[in-house]
Amino acid sequence: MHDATLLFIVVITALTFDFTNGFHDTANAMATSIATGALKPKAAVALSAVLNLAGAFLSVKVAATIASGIVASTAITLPIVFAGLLGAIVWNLLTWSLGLPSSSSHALIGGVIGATMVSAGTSAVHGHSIVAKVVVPAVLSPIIAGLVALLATKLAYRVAQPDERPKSHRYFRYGQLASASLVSLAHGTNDAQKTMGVITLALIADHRLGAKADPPAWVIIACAVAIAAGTYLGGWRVIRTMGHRLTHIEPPQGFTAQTAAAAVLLTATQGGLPLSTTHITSGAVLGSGAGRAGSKIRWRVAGSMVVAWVLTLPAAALVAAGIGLVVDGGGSVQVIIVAAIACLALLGVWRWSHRNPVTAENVNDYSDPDLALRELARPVQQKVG
Amino acid sequence: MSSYLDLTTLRNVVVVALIAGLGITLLFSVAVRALVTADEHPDVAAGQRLIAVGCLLVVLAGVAVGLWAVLAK
Repeated sequence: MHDATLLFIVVITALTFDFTNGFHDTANAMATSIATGALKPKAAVALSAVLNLAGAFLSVKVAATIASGIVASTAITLPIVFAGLLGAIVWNLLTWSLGLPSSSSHALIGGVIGATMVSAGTSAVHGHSIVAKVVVPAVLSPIIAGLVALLATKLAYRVAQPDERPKSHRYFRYGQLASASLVSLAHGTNDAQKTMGVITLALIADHRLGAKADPPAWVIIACAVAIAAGTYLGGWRVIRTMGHRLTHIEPPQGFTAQTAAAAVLLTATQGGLPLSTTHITSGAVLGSGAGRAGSKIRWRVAGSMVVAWVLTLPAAALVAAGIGLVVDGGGSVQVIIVAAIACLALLGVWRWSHRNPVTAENVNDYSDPDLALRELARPVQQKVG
Repeated sequence: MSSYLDLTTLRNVVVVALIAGLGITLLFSVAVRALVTADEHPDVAAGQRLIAVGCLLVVLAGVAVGLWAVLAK
């Protein structure tokens, strides 16, 4: 096996995951700003990309976060890292094509778990850590964010009275810019760090770095650029779901949702509680929907989202396990063949998604089915009246 | 459950997130209300704008301290 070739493929795969993480999770920060018209779609993703880029440089203390404690570090090999990353990329693209916000971090963790189980057995997987670091926070984070957003929305509507004073929407849109920027910055700091950690882990596994080494400068720059590029491309499908399909969002709700998300995200980071940005922002959007009188949450869409959350870890693990079976113990040839097949498959998903394209131009063209029904019913009611 | 999660940390996160989220929302909403009042009633505009600026400065300071606390860790 030629380790340099294998390492190169792993690094490219990790940067591809970082790129998918960027465009899959742009919605976390910018969906409500785009939905309420606080920012034009292209300007929103550009701002988010710049802040993700900046966030990636703010800290380098999260190297190996994904793997440490989740699986035995001795079980990590380059083919396992490759399989784990590919499993996460496949799940990210599938959920993106369906417009479902799901956690890229959980996909990555699932991928690493699945590939490790195939390679080193179940004993190499730390079940207690997975429950403590992934499962429990996954359940709690949307609830905490939803609660904060619900109370904040009630407070904002009571104090600023935007229903009686529509002029206030303009000022809440300005507020949205600041709160969404904060979420983007936090996302860049958290998520780009995870890919940096994975690449650093690969370099350590290949004996190019000492154990406990910090990510080299080129890794930090490459990850920052990859996540920013992905963010700029914009995951318009997920943005539409977060901004329109879950609930109708007004500027005060957009502000409170993003403020709640930023508050929970940054507080949890400070407290060392690993929470998913996607779960936090989705919970906050639902909370802001529940907090406004007369607002309606589409529970069917929310239910599909929760199903995607539950499936993320096992599904990514299953895909990674399948890939791990092929590449584990093999040479770089197997890895190259699998990478080529994966490229073709992912290209297929990309092309399939273009049958019904969602772009910056039509991301806000979402017709509310309930609203459409009410519009249809209106002439009948008027005639009866 | 407690073996899977540090309940003290969880309680701290919930309390601080509630205080930060609701505090920022309250101050920003007061600022928005003051700015709208200033737009609608030019006779009290100066005082209302002063209230708005005060609230926004406190929000900015709070966010700056929060970010510093997270990034300095």
